[in-house]
Amino acid sequence: MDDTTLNQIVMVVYMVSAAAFLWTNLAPEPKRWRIPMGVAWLGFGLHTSSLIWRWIHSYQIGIGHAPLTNRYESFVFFAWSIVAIFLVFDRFLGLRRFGAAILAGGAGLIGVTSLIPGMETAVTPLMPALQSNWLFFHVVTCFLAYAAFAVAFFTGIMSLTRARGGNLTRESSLQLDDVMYRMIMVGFLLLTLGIISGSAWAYRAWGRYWGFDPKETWSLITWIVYAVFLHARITKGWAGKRLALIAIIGFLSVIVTYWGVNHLDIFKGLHSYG
Amino acid sequence: MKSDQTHHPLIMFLSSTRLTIILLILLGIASIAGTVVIQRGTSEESHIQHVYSPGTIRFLDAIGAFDMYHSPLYLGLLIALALNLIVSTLRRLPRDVSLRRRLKSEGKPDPRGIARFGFYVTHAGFLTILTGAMLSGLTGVEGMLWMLPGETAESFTTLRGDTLAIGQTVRCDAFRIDMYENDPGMVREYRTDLTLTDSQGRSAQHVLRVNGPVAAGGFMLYQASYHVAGIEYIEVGVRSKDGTPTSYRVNEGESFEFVPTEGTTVSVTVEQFVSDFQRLDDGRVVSRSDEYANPAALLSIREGSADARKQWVFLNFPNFHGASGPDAAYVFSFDRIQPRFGTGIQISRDPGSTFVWLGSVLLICGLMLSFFMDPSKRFRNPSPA
Repeated sequence: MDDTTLNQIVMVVYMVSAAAFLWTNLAPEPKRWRIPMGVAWLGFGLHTSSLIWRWIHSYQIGIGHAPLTNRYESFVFFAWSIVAIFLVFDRFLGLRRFGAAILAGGAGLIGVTSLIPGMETAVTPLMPALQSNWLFFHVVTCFLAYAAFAVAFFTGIMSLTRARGGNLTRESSLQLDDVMYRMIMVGFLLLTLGIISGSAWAYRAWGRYWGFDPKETWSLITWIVYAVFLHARITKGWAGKRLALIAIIGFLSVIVTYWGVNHLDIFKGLHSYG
Repeated sequence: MKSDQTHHPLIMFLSSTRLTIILLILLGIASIAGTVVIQRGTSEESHIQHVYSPGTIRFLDAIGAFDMYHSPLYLGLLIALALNLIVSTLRRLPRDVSLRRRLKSEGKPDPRGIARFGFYVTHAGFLTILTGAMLSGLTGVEGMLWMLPGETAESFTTLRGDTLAIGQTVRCDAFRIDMYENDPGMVREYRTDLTLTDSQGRSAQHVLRVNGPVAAGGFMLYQASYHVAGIEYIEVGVRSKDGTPTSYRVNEGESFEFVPTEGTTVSVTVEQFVSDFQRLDDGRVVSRSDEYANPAALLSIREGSADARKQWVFLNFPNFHGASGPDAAYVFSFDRIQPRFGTGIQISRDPGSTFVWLGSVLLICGLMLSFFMDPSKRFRNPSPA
């Protein structure tokens, strides 16, 4: 068995956890979150082991880098980041209400790796520009930021659909706004760290800290969208639908930054990996 | 709060968050446009004219969309955002100062604690980064040193066309491209061995790698690129009838010898090398182009004291035996060209970068102050379900 097989098991565990969250959501009060949370932690433990396993394996075969480089690794790590953010911030923000969607999202990201044809799942060697100690910090901060924004996106969608369905009390709407706002604060700080570390890395590798290549530019666009969110919320006191809309636009921008610039023909640039 | 009403309406507008949001949205739209519209300098002019209609080109030119991030529009938006930040800071600062003073005189703690400084630190960081970016654009210099092993450089030409002295002599001792052992198609490392000599004659050796820059004079050197400058050697193979192949590394004009059978010595000279084989009407062979489209070598083969015979070998046509014939005691082949690589070193100086890193630290500190150090706004959601 190798780590890719273990990741398939992790996917199944996440799906079981998502189903358990859904079941608990639909069950009457008092909610018993122990089972879905327990299964989620089990999956996360296995997932973390699989990452470490792959990391060690890459050293054993003489390549030696963190499992954060090719497309397969980035999907698996994105899934890990989402579940990590969920488990950590559930303590502060009560995210378990969104557990079903978040865990299903994590499972989906791992599942996608076997649906995309020709996806290289083996550990691949790094081109010289990627061989840097900045790699770990840059990728981890960016993906945790994306994950926090993904959670904010879920709450934004929920806020909009519930408002449309008419079953959104003022109190629960404010709660959704609060969760969204706090996840975006976390994401914004991490994204800022991610962009700065990327700049520092680019400066060391290419002698320039910013070059407006499409991936850099889209990370700036994403940063701008969330800066608009923070100003609208903190200073202008925006709430409800308008605020949810910015969180949704922000995550669409994250998807373009992460995936679109590499795979949509209209954007072309230097970051042609990942 | 009451001092707000005394301000001029223009100042109120310039310092408003509404303006901040409008400017950020415009900046976002302009940034997106720059990733969608083909940028001059990344594409041929003819391609641009093929993609867009003349009317569209006129419009995109007018707003500077073909070089979006250096356009007056983009620069103007950044300056407007900076102005907006400065004016709103100046409007807010006296209010916060007097509030802190009043609280201090009353002996009360500030309910927002040190988070009240978050606004200033964050925005000072952002402005410092913008200042650094402007400085980089105005005072940064960049050029390339293309060097072969053994060559030296004391000056370089910037992208703007100025020639600058480096202040040290840069000598390229060696340049290597190493491949991964388990993936020979993948580059593991580009590496230039350098010797830097200062004006007092003191020398120091350095290794320049991607992600491992070296300081020289007042500049930084980066392993940015490489180039191919001719041929280091070619490899000519000899396969005896029993099938054992041997390879010889030779250049044009050089010879090698081998012993196919006991007592016979064969001497082979590479008389001519062409990168793109073409036989003219008069029988002469020339290179059709500088491209390595059809590399070929003319071998002059002398066995013992017999007269030399000549044979062309082709890199791309290993089965073209030419004069030797299938029953010969040995067969020649053109196995490989080893290109001669030279290093491409980017040399640059960017005084603006210091401001960018300082601004980055301020920005991060400011965000942490605002987001997580405010005692009046606990991070924990007050009422989780």
